[in-house]
Amino acid sequence: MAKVVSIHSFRGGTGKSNTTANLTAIIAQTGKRVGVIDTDIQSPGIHVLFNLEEENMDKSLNDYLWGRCPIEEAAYDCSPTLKVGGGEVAVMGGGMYLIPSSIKAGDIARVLREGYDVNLLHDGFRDLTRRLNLDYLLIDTHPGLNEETLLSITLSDVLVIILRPDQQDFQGTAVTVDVARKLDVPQLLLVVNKVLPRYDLEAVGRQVAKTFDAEVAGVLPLSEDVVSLASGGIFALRYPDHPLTQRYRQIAAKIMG
Amino acid sequence: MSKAFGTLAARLSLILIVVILIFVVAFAIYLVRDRSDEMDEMILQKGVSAAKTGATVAGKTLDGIIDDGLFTTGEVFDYTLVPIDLPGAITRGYAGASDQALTNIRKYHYASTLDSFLDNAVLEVEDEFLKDPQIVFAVLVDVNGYLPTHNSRYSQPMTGKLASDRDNNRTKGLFDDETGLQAARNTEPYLKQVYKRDTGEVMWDISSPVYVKGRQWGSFRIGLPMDKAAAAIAALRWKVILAMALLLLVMVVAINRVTSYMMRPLQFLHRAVERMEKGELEEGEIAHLGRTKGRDEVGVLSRVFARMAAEVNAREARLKQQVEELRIEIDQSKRAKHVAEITETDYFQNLRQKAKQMRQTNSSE
Repeated sequence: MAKVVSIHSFRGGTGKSNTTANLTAIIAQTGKRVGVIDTDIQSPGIHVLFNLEEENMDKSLNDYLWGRCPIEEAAYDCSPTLKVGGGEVAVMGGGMYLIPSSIKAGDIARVLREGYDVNLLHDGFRDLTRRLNLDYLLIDTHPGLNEETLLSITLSDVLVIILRPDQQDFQGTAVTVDVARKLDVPQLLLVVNKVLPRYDLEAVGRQVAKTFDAEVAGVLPLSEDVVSLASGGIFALRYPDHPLTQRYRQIAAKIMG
Repeated sequence: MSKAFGTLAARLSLILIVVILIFVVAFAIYLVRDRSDEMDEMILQKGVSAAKTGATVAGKTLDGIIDDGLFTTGEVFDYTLVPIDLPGAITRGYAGASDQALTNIRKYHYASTLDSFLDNAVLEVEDEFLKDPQIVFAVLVDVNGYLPTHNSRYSQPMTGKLASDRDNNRTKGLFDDETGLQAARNTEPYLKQVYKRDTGEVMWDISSPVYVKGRQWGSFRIGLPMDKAAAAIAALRWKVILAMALLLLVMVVAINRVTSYMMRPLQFLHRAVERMEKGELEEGEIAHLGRTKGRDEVGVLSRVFARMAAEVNAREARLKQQVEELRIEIDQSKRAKHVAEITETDYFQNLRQKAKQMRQTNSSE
């Protein structure tokens, strides 16, 4: 049975998709089969990091939700990209599978208008993990607390909340933590992202952990290298020896338990 | 103190000491060798001079005996020997001795009785040479190796004990061994030989020819101990070694003191660096370092390091300030309100129920 990990944040712009993509790659490099699903149907984006372009995209999550295909047909094998960057060769047995959301304007408009049967998501996760024989399923959620994000949280074994050291993020994270606890999430992890490097990162981590009475899986500094990459690829694959990549590895370790 | 710092000062001292040691030892060896050769030379020169002098005096004495009409030239050059019968009390003690040993202890007179006369005429002269402790024997021998009058030291009364008599009463003996004959017949101004005495001693034998009325009558032999010469050389060697050891000790102490004194600024810098690593370096120490005088490497390092340390400390102070600024303010009442807005919906309540079911189905798969 695969471990389901939701990567969530109260507001947009916290670096959720980037973090999700990096964690997916790092876990896959340890020899695990990892699926990553973009449930932010209203503003999809993670496929860019996996270099999946519109013309190469046939089926998407939307097609599954509208009953047009089984979910595994919307899955794209991104394992070859594990070999990109630093000459890293994929570890035997590892694999990365992306289930993107449609970026066609018409599809997005339709979802906004009609919505979709949320319970299909649950069945979809189960079918996906079984048919692709996944060890981990990472869910890149839509920001904020709405029906589908609450459902994701409910279905998750691990909830990772990403926040910036910003007052609005603090307030929103406080609410999310309380709600998640009421849903009996087995493991709750916080990740503080985009911290100015001149701060003592470890002290920031300790302060956040104390404030929310929750485990901080990692504190990630704002990196010029990440900004320059500009979502052109997965940072951890491009710079395997970078100190930031090492921090991502520490977060992945907490998730893999 | 220098030991506490250890590495650089100790290594430097060690290298300097080893280098100096090599030179000192080489010089000492050269010195000893040189001096030994000199001493050897000196001792032998002494022997040569004594042999020549003895030969001249002996020759003159014998000339005088002829001139005074005490003996004729023919009598003086008559080397015929008559064996001396030793008293029974003595020979009894020699019972059981080997033939060779008995041959060596045989005594003779000249048929002309010249030897008894020489006992008076030549003994004083011969003994005069033995006032020098380095001369073992100084004797007149004829061309056949017969020794009429030995030094007083070697003319002790006979005791009947063979070894003792052989060592202490050698007068009136016939020394016709290889060395003895070579010495007796030598016509060169002097002849130097290694003489293995039947007593077991090994010594230098220097002989000079004795001329009487223009004809060689015999030789004057001088004995110099090899071991005495060696002892003198050994004494010298020890003196040199001791002197060099003392010099070395003085140098070691001096080098040690000088290196540790010169290393002090470096020690101070090293300690400051260690303290910086632990984060314990204080402003006062940094200021002191910054004031280091001296244009050498340590001076430059100290001043530059002090500047860097000051910058690092300033930066850390700034950092510490900023971290304190990160304040997390959460409006708890707003928080509770928002949470309630979500959790009190029907959707949420249903979800809570489903959550339990879904977890159970997931875990059973």
